[in-house]
Amino acid sequence: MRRARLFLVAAAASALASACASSSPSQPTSGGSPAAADATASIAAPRPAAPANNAQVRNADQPVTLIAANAITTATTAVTYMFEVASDAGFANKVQTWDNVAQGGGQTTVKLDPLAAGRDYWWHARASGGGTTGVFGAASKFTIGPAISLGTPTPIAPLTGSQTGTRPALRVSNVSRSGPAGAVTYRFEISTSSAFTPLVQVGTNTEGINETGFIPTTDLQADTTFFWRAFAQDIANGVTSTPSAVQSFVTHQPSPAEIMASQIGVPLWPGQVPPGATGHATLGDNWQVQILHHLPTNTFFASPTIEMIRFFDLFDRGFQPDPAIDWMNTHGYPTIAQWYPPPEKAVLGLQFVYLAARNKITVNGTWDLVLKTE
Amino acid sequence: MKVTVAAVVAWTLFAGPAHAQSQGAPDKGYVEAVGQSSFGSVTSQSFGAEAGIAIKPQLQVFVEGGRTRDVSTSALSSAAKTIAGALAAVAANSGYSVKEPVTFFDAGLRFSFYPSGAGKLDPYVLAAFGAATVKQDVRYTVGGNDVTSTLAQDPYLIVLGSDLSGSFTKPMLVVGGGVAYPVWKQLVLDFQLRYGRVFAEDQAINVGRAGLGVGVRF
Repeated sequence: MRRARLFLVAAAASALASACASSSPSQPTSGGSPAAADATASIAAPRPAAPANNAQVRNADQPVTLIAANAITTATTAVTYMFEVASDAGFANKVQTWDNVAQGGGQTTVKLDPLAAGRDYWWHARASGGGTTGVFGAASKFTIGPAISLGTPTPIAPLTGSQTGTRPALRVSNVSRSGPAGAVTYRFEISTSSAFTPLVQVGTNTEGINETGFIPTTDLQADTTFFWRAFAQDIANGVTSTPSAVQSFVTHQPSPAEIMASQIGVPLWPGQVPPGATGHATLGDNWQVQILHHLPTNTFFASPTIEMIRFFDLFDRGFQPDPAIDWMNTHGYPTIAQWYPPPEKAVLGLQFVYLAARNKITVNGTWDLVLKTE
Repeated sequence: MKVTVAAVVAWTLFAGPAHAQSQGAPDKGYVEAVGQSSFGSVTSQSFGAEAGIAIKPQLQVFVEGGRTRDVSTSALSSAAKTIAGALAAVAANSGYSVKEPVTFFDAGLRFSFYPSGAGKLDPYVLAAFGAATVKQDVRYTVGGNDVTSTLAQDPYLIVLGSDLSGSFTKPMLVVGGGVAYPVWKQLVLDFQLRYGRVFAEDQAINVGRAGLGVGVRF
């Protein structure tokens, strides 16, 4: 009986001794002993979400952002992620590792540093939290496209200081390129500001032979300074060149007299320029460039002459015929013109022709060119 | 724990056959086998053995050991379900089961309201302190096959932490009472009610046990 009592006391002591906590997890974890701290968490690996497996990523779209669907875990503490990027499926050659990435809402992302172009990459992620480091999730592959670069377009025309019409042809020389570039297009930007804000017109054109141009689809505002530049683009590969040097031009809407002077190749006003804005006269009949025959003197002559054109320009600027003759004679453009006023006539007589005011209206009137018969 | 269980068995052997006692003679001790229903977060069964020896006319030192088949806590079930969701995302026809068996051993004092031999019924109360080893038996299946041991491998890629695997041993407090009833010579039926609390780290485990012990007094 004494022996039984001793043994019972020993058993009680054993019970107390075994009350000291211990644990033996069935799977190894990296955390501390659960006996010393809370139990370690369970973690299901994060799954790759983007780029999609086998995705092709244009080199120009770098840097790549990896997105992993969050791990499923029982952890109640903060969960962090490790992302690995390798150049082989076995992850023997890691090219980037990102650790301690904080978990996002539903997904966790990391923006990579630029990767070498034209290569395949594999990536995976794992989560850690609650004293447990999970295993890496499934690996996902993506490919960075080839490196492509485009040279800078060189402006041909209009260059800075040019005066143009309201739809000037913008021209650049075609760019050089490296790598397997796709089709190249050119984007032209026109603005009233050298900062290109706002843009007045934007146009894109496919590459021409040696050079590529663009003509505005609507008239630019006349007598305005515009700035323009061009970019070369490989849309398929997402590559855009640096912009061309900025050029400027001033638009000018030529008057009818300027157009005719240009057609016959003579400066309209090589010296002094008459005052006033155009828009006060209308071209009537026979102003087209042509050869006329003055029958009385059997003279063939090119019409209109620069004198005819200058008188029309003065009428267009609001001059009446007599003041126009006076202005010509006093400003270095001598003339023998003679004005035959209404009511009998309303014509300005020149050597072989009359400039006839239609319906004898000289203010904002229409002027016909009539061959003399006498 | 194995040591303590072995101690109970050894003690039972050393105690030898119970001496025949006449009605009214004081008892020197007892030993009995116990079967119980357990109540906690889940209902289960418990089996064990208990033995005691008198140190005073109404006071006995006793030890007990046993095993409760399942005391799964809500925390364990919830965590298991979370990971089951992850498994279902990568494997069709997945499933899981949760059991949390406890093996315990404790020692304490048992106080009888009446001196032994004073009457037929022997009501008593007791309190004990010991240890419990809790095993977190969470199993995952895919297509009916147990994949728990391969969860960390492709395609599952799941690491079970100690919240869903392994076992731990923690202190355990037991209080209870009952009524012993001698049915024939030294043969006694012991109607028992026990409450145990395992002091686990994350969530204490409470287990109630109600059952019957069959044993002998000597």
